[in-house]
Amino acid sequence: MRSSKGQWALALAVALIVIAEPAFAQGLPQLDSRTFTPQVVWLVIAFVALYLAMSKIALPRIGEVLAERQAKIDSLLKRAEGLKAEAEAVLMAYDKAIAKARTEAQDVVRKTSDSAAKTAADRHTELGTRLGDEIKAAEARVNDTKNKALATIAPAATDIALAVIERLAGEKIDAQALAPAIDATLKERRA
Amino acid sequence: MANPLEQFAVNPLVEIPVAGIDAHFTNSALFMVLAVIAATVFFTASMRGRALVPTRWQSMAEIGYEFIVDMVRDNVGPEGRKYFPFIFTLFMFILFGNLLGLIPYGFTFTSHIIVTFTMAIIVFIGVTLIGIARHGLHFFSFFVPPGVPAVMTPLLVPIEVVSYLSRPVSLSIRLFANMMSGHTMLKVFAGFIVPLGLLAGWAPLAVNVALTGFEFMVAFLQAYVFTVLTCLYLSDAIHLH
Repeated sequence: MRSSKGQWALALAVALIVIAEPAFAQGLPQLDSRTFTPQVVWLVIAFVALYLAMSKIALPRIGEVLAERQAKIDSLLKRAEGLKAEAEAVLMAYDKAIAKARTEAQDVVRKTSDSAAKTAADRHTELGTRLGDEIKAAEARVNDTKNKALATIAPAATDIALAVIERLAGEKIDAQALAPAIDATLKERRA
Repeated sequence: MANPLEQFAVNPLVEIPVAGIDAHFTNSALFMVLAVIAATVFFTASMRGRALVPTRWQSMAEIGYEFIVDMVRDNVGPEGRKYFPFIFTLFMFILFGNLLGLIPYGFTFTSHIIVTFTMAIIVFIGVTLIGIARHGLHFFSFFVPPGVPAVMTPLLVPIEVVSYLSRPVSLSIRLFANMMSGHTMLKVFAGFIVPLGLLAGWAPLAVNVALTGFEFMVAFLQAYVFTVLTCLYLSDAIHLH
């Protein structure tokens, strides 16, 4: 393929030269051997000059700049990776802290609600006891008063009965003799 | 019609006969020097800023550098690193020569067989010497293709030798013929424009516009082909098969 392209170009060149036949009569300048030496001499001079300029000045400079850039990119990438790892660590710590705080909060809530419930229950019991006591005391007082009142009924009834009998019958009766009858009547009424 | 081959004529600008050697500074030499100056300025001035983020010019210089670095690495391998400055110089010298030749009234020194042949023979001799220096006499095993029956060797070795010796010829003729034919065509079509007049002169003009674009591609492509083949020859010398 390589040589076929060269051959194609050469054939085309030859064809064009044939077309420009009068020109060809003067000969191809490329084949004029008098131009060979000066061209080779100056080719060597120019090529060596370019080689020195490129290898001593231009290429090291470009290579340096490219290496510098690569180093910079590498260092920045490394730094970015470090920062990313750091950010991930921070995120992880944050998640951990959040989880811990949540657990703690739940703990506190549970404890508080437990203690509140306990206090409420305690107070409730206490209140119940106190109320029970007060009720009992009140009942005792009521009974006491009632008994006292009941106890005064019998003598009062005896006095009234004696006064009634004295007025009606005109005779005095011993209070002792009346007592059983009054007691019986009071018992009957109270029942 | 103007002589389409006139553009290839080499004329001395300054006559310098040094000790019997004809070292005249010709128009060909002028364009060689211009190519050297243009390439040197391009690759040094553009890098003056040494910018971390390259400017457009610096970017072009870096692309050129990396293009050749990749070419050498892909075709020769890590051992080719030593020859990178030479390959780079070769490519840029041919490329700048080709491109400067496209300037109207310019001169294309790569269209001269003696120039391309000198470069090709330097590459050929250099590559052969590198091969012999690396492998000693073992280098000549290069002419015996591997995996070939012993009976065939007497037949194949001469073929391989001829093929090897024809490398500088094909290398130099390819570049020279491409540049010469392209520039001749440009000149032939240009010569038709005015004689054909306002009516038909547009056709060769249009062809010339297209050809000029095509020649830019050829200028690059031929520099690339010459350099890639140099790399391949170098790779052969370093790795043998």
